[in-house]
Amino acid sequence: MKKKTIVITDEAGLHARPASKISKKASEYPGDIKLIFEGKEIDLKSILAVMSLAVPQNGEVTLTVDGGDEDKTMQGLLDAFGEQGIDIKED
Amino acid sequence: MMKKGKMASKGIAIGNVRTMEHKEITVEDKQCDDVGASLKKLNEALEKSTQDLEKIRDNAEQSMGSEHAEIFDAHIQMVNDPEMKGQVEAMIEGEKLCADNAYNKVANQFIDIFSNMEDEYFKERAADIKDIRTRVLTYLQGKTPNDPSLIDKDTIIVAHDLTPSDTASLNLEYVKGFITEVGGLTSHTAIMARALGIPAIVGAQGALEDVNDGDTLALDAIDHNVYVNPDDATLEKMQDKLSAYKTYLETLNKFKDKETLTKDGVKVPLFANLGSPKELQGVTENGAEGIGLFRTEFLFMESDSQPDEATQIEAYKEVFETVQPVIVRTLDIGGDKNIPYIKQPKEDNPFLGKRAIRLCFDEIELFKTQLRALLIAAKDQKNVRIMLPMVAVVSEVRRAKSIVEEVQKELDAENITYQKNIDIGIMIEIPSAALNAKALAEEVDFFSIGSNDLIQYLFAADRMNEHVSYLYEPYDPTLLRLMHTALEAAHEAGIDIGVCGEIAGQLDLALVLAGMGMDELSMSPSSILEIRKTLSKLNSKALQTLTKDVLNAKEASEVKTIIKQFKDDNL
Repeated sequence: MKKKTIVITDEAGLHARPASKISKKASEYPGDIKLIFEGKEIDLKSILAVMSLAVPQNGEVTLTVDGGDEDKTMQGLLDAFGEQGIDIKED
Repeated sequence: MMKKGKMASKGIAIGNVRTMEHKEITVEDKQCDDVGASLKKLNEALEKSTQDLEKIRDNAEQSMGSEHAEIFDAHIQMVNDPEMKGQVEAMIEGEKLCADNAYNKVANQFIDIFSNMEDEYFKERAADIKDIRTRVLTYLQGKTPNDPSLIDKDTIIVAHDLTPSDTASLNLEYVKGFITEVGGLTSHTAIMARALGIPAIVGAQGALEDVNDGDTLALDAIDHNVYVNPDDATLEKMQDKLSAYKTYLETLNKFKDKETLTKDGVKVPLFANLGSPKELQGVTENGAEGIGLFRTEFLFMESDSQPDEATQIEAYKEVFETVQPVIVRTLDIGGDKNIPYIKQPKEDNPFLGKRAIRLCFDEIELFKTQLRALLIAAKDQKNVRIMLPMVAVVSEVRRAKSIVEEVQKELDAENITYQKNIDIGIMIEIPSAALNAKALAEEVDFFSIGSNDLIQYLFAADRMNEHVSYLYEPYDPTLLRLMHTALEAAHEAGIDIGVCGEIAGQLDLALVLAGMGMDELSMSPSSILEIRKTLSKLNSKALQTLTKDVLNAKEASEVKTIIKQFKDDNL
C-alpha cells in the first residue's frame, strides 16, 4: 500500500468542480483509493463522499492506494490535483 | 387562459405543451422481499438515468458550450457514485427495503449533509442531488421522466418559473414559446426569451392548471391570446398569422444594415444590450449600431472561482472585436445576483445593500483585476467605454476613478500596453444620481440610464414582486421627467446620455426617449429593427412635441393615451 499526506493550500479548499474531476480520475485506476481527512476515511472514487468531507484551505489529507500499479496511481492523482489548479504541499 | 399574464417577448408560436413542474415524488416506506429484483431495478434505473444525462450533456455542449455541460458530467458521476450505490444496495439487502425507498433514504442523507454545510457553494450541491434523485426515483417507480431537455418536436414550455439552470437544460432548437406563472418583463425568462427571439408570456397565474402535457397550444404574443387545443378553424387562423408574422420579420430585415434615422434625417442610434459573448450573433443579426450595455456578470457567475485576468481579457476582446462602440459595465453583483466565491453577508434588503460598485469597493482586488483586464483588452480599441453601476453620490465616482488611475500606474510600471484614453461613465439608476446629475456630469464622460433599477428605486417597488407591480410603471411621467433632468444636465455639460434599461426597447417609450434627445437607446437585439422602421416614418419635430406633451402629464394612463393618439395620427 502507498500512502502520502498532502496539505490543500488552495484558498477555496478542495472545492466541488475540481473534486469531481479528481474523483473521476481516481475511477480510472483499478486500485482501492482512499482519502483520509480528520479521521474520516472515504473512497476517493465517490464524488459525493469527497465533497461531503468539505476539505477547507490548509486541510491536511492522506491519500492511500492499495492495488494496481500503486506508484503510477499515486503520481496520477497528485498530477490531477495540479491540473485542477489545487495548490498542494507534499509533507 | 386567454389573457393571463404579460407579453414579455413578441411573436407567434404553435406547438405541444411541455410542463416543467418540479413535483415532489412520493416514496412509500415499504419493504420488498425479492432482493434480486430490487437490485436489478436499481441497476436499470441508474443506467437509464446515465443515458439521459449523457444526452442532456451533449445537447448543452452543442447549444451553450462545454462549460455549461460540465455540471451534467458531475450529475453522471453522482448517479454512478460507488459510495451512494453501495449504501443503497446494503439497505436493499440488509433491511429488504424496496429499491425506491432505499435510494430515497440514502439520497436524503446526502442532501442533508450538503444542505447543512456552511459553504454556499456546497449547499447548492444539495440541489444537484435532488435533481438526480428525482430522475432515478422516477425510473425506479417504472415511469419516464418528463424531460424538457429531450424534446424533439415543436414545443411550448409551460412552467411556474424558469431558473437559469432550467433554461440551460432546454434544447432550444425545438422550444418555440414560453409561458410562466410568475415573473415580470424583467425576469430571467423574459430577458432570455427576448435575447433568443422566442415568444413568451410571463406572470400567467395558474397557467399550469390550464394545460396538460401534449396539448396543442397556440401562443399569440402579439395580440395576447393563448389557445389550448384550438379547433381547426382557430388553428388555421393562427398558422396564417404565424406565416404573416414571419413575412413581417423579413420586411424588418431590410432595415438591418441601415442607420437609424427619423424621416427628416435625425440620427437615433439603436444599440444592443449584451449578457455574454454568446449573444453576439443576435446583436449582429439585428443590425445593432453598438452595444450600450455589456453586462460582465456572466464571466463571474459561470465559474467556481474568480476568472483570472487572461480569461477576462479573452472574453472582452471577443466582444470588442465584433461590435463597436461598446459600453462595458463593471461587475454588478449583490442584490439578487450572488457568486459562490464571494462571501456576502445576509442582508435584510439586498437591493439596498452592498451591491455593484459598493461591493467592488470592498472586493478591491476583484475590481482592479476587472479594470486591468478591460484596459488591456481595449488597448487597440478607440470606442470602448467603461461604465460604473449603482453610483449614488459624487464621492463614489471620484473613488472609482482613483482606482482606475492606480491600475493604470501599475500597468505603466509593468510596461504593459493598455488603452490610455478610455471614457468612464456611470449608470443613472438611483434617483439621487439623477437629481444630482449636474455635479456628476462634471466628473464623467457619459451617462446611461438604467431604467429597470431606477423605476424600482424611484417608486420603492420591488420589480419582481407581483403585489406591487402596479407601481412598477415605466409610463409614469415622474420617471420620464427624472430622466429628462439627467438629460438636460448631461447635455449642458457636453457629455452624452443613453438609456439601457428595458424601457428603451418598448416601442412607445422609445419614441418618447428619441423625442427627448437621448444620444442612444440600448435594448434587447430583437427590438431594434421594429423601432428603427417606425422611427424612419416619423419626423423629429413631431417626436419632440410628443415628449413635451408627455412630460406635462400627471399620471401613467395619461401618458399612454397621449402616445396612442400620437401613433394614430402619425403612423
